[in-house]
Amino acid sequence: MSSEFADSGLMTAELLTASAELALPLVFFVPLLTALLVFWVGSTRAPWLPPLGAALTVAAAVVLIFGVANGGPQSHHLGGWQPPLGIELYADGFAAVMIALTAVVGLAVTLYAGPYLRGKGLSLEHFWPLWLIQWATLNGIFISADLFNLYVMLELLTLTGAPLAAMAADRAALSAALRYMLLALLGSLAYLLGVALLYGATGSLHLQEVGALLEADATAAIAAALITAGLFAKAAIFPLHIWLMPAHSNAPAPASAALSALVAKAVVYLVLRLWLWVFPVLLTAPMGWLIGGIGAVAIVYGAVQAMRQPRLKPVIAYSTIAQFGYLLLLLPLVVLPAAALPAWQGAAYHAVVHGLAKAAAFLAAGNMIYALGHDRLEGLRGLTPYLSVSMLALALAFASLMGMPPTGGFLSKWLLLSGAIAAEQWLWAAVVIVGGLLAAVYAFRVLAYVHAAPPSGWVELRAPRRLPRIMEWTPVVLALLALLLGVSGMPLLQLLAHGAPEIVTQWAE
Amino acid sequence: MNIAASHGVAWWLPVLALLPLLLAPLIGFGGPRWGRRAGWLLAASGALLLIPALWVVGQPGGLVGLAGLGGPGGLGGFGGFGGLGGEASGARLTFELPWLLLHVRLQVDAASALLLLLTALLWVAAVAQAVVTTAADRHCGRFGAALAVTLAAFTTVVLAADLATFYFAYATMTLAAYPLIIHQQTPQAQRAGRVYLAMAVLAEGVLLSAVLMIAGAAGNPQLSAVPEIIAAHPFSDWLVLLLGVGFAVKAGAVPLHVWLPLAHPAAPIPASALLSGLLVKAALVGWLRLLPLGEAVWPTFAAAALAVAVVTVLYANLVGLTQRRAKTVLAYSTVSQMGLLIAMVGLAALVPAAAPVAFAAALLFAVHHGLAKGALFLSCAFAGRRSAWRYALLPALALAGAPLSSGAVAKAGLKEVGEAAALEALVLSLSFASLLTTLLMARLLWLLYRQGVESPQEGEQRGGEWLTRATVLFTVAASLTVPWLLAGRCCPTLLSAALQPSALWAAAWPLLLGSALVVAALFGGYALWRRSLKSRSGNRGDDHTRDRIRDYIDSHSRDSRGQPWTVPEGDWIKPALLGGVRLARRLRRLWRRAPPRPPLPAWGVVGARWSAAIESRLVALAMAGALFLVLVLGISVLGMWAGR
Amino acid sequence: MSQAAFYALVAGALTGIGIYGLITQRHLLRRVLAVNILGSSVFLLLVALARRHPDYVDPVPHAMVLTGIVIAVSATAFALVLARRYHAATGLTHLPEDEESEEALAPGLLNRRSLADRRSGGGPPPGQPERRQGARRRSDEDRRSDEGAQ
Repeated sequence: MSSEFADSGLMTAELLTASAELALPLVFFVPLLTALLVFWVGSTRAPWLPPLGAALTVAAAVVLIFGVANGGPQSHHLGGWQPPLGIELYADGFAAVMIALTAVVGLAVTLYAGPYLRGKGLSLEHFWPLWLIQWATLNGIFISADLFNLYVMLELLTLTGAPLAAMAADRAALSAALRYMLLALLGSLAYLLGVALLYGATGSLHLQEVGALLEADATAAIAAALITAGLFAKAAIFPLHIWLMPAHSNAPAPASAALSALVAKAVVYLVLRLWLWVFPVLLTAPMGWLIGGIGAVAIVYGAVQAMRQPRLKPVIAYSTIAQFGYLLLLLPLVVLPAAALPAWQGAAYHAVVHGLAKAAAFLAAGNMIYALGHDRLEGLRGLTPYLSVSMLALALAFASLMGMPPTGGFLSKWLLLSGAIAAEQWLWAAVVIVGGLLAAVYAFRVLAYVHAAPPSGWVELRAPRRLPRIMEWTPVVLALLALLLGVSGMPLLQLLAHGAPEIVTQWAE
Repeated sequence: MNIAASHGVAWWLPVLALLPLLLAPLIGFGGPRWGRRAGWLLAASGALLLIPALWVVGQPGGLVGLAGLGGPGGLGGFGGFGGLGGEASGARLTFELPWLLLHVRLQVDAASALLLLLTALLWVAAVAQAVVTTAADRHCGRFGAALAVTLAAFTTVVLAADLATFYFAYATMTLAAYPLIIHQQTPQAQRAGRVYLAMAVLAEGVLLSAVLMIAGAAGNPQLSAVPEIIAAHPFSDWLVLLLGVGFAVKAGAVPLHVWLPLAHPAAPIPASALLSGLLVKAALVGWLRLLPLGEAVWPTFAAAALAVAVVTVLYANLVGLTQRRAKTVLAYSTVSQMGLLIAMVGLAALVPAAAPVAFAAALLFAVHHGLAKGALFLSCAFAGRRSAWRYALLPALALAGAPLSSGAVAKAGLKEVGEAAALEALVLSLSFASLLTTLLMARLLWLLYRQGVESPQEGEQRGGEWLTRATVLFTVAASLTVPWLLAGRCCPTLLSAALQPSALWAAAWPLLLGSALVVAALFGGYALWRRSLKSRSGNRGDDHTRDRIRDYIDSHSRDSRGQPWTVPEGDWIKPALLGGVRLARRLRRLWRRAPPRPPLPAWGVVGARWSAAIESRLVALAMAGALFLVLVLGISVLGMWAGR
Repeated sequence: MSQAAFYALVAGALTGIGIYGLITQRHLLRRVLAVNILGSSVFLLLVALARRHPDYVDPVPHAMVLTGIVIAVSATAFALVLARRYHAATGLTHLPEDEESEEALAPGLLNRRSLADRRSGGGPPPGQPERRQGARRRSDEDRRSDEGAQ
């Protein structure tokens, strides 16, 4: 390579790094301003506005991610105000990875939502502002370095998620949204209570500062308990998961994809971020066992519930509850020197892969609902020829969820498993394997229905509705990305290494 | 040392593995026109493997590293492979793809160069024949795609330089071979596929546990570092055992060989040629790369491997003699030849100093066997013609180790190892194995001849006839020459040793003895027949001689129920499966006769009822609130305990 | 006892009342109110925290309380709208599962008063006669499958 090229490459890298700091507030404000604009102008008058906003958001996210990949963690003080009164935005590798996931799934949801909601006769006027604010909020959660700012984001997440879940406005959707609303309010107020206690103990709200100042005393323990339990209620971690299935399965398909792949995921992300950055002093082996045990029970329980569901979307929703359990397995493993790094990588990787696969599965289920008007498993027999592309997406997504090689799900489970084995934690290793097998049971149950021959004497009363091309291919692209992550994992893992938590890196030397 | 890590040739390594993968969907979905073109492209792309292989072979001292494969070791004294250095020597090509899988590393060293050479030659011939012979097949796209994936995976197995890539490619290869086996979709093929899949998946499980243990100790290490990691591992004995057993299924070690004689005849001919010539060698690659054989003595493993090797050679040859189909005979011959390779592995485990030589000899033998067996299988395309046995004659002789043939060189290498390890018994038993192989090859030629005479299918082949013939002749020629060239290139002393009069005689006598036995058996049979004929009727008519010989043999080779008396293909698996079915039936009958019991609800129903009950209790917001408080309490108590 | 400590104690008591109300009350309006009490308790705690130092007032908790009040208002408003829409659609003032699973709960959590509450407050609005009664008895499962998906 000639030096000229090398120079220009260097300059590009510098430019990217410099613009990354600028992109940090943009990933939050671009979708937010677009949402307000859409609300003001109306999406019937400017139907090009939401896709444009989505494209700009993705562009900002790309710049930010490249900046993190080349220049390490980025930070930005809003309006030039220093903490504690100013708001600091901070993006490390973990945040960049989640922003990337949000960008991909968000783009897919944006492309999918238009034709789907129009076809189902639902209001786009309401959907676009809600969804774009939700996107902004998600990015806000990933880049906030301030505990109170995170509370605001959490509330915004609820205030946009519950209307999306209630969009159908029938009895099931409304009761689901109410249940979600009440539990989420309880959760976020408990979180705020914990934050208040932390502020009382340390006099700071900054994530890393609090983590450095915090001592393991009773105040810290109660704060951690309130925050964790509150976030569990918002993230639908077993046993506080009850709102998730009705809310996610009654929402319109693009909204369920966003809720399951991103919204609840963002809260679990917060659980991990707080435990790894703020509460490492409290993370002892028994604490790890408690939270990891909850995760293990969630894996089994979610899978068992998924097995008995008569409809497709509840199966996928319960699978979300099970898959979140894997993320919690990180906490018991991260305190062990041998397991810390692979478990950390595996959990973060799992968050991304699960997001892609879950979005693909929900959008594929949305295709079936769009074409047939229902998603009862019994009624899906003999459907494959009509919806073969969506079936492919569903099969690939389920393969990733159960961790079949060479999907991304396999890679994340491999990392978790090798960490557990390296630290000789046979119980956690067994949980990972059993979880995969249970996932295989519900996945194959669905796939068997879908591929079964139609019952004898089956007459087609109404031909399946034709799918718009874009709806047909969006879930496949997402599922293929999940597959691609199984084949090529290194870029993501390298991105993740920027600004890894100290509890993970301390063993590296 | 990397002599040429950044050499331009290294760019070919990922291309080699990816090209067939890119062609696979084109072949599978391209329809007759584009699929066929892609098929020819696939055949041609096999030749690309020659680029890195010949580059390494052509480098000065390129094959020097051959002796240093198993690890460091001073091997100055060993004749045929004399003067070969240790780890430090030998040309290599390396290429890294950090973003792929868990940091893919590909490498061509001396061992992979030899295997790539073998792969390239067989690939071109077998795929070309597949394109010609399956043109009329409705499912030829599916077959071609599976063939492409299998070849890509095998190439990656050979090229892999890190553990994850190796295991991933190995597992893909195993699974991709399944559609090849069941392609003809006869009940027999289905059964072969089931047995193959069951055994392969079990073996994968065994291997996966070993791979996970290694990964737990060292992440995703370089393959060259794996032997040391295993040797230092607290469970090293278990790891060696797991790896030994896991690859033994692929290698067809008795008694784990049963999938081979079922799968090879069931698959279409080009696929069997690849299965037998290439895929079973993946086990050798696994042992060579992973087992810590140069590091220490593994007495238990060595004893087990040597015992299995002896049993494999003897048993497979003898059972093969009873078979009635040419491809089954060839499959059993593969099993017996793999027994020789297993003996090399056992020897390397017994005498660490001999490990490099043993592996070098095993590789040379693998090239020879792969080409010869590929030629034999491909010439089965002419089964049903009078000329079929003529195509098979030369490779059969080579396989039996006839003097001046390529087999003689390969076996001279094996004997070298026996002498190096001071095991005279091995030299003798090699001669005995040659004798048995001679008999088996005679049986094969006889079967090919008889099939041509009895059920001639002249005119079956139409277009592409000359192409089929060309592929067969190409492989035959390669099998006769390539091992010579390789031996001349890597160990000239071995070549001259193989040309010594004493060596010629050592190679010749088992063959001569075997031929004498065959001739004696023929004459003896003929004489017996004459006598029985004389004693029965005194009719001396010669015009129906052939029919009568057949009637005679038939009447003496049937059991009491008039069924032909043979060992079934896959010897023990059929009785075992039948026995299992009978046992299950009997147990079921016993169970039915037992005194009446209260009916048990189905597990699924119970589970569903329970899980529904739990969920319906959890769903109330009040319960959620109570659990929320419990959670807060639990975490704060544990947190306070942490602060204490 | 200092003023701040007294505030903190009251905040703790309000937290308990809020969570207790959220658990035991079934009427949706009462639940929303319970959430509001919980929110007030947190704000009270923050205000108390601002006065920890005897010589100056910490502005950060005040900023937090102000923002928190805005959020609490909007969340309450949205919850109330949802509850009204729900009531309009079903004629119920409590979530569907509360009716079915109340027997399964620990009796201590459910006293007579709250049951009586539900009965008196849970009737259909005057404009809607008892037509929902039959539908209410059907199991949740049936309802979900009947209504199909979105």
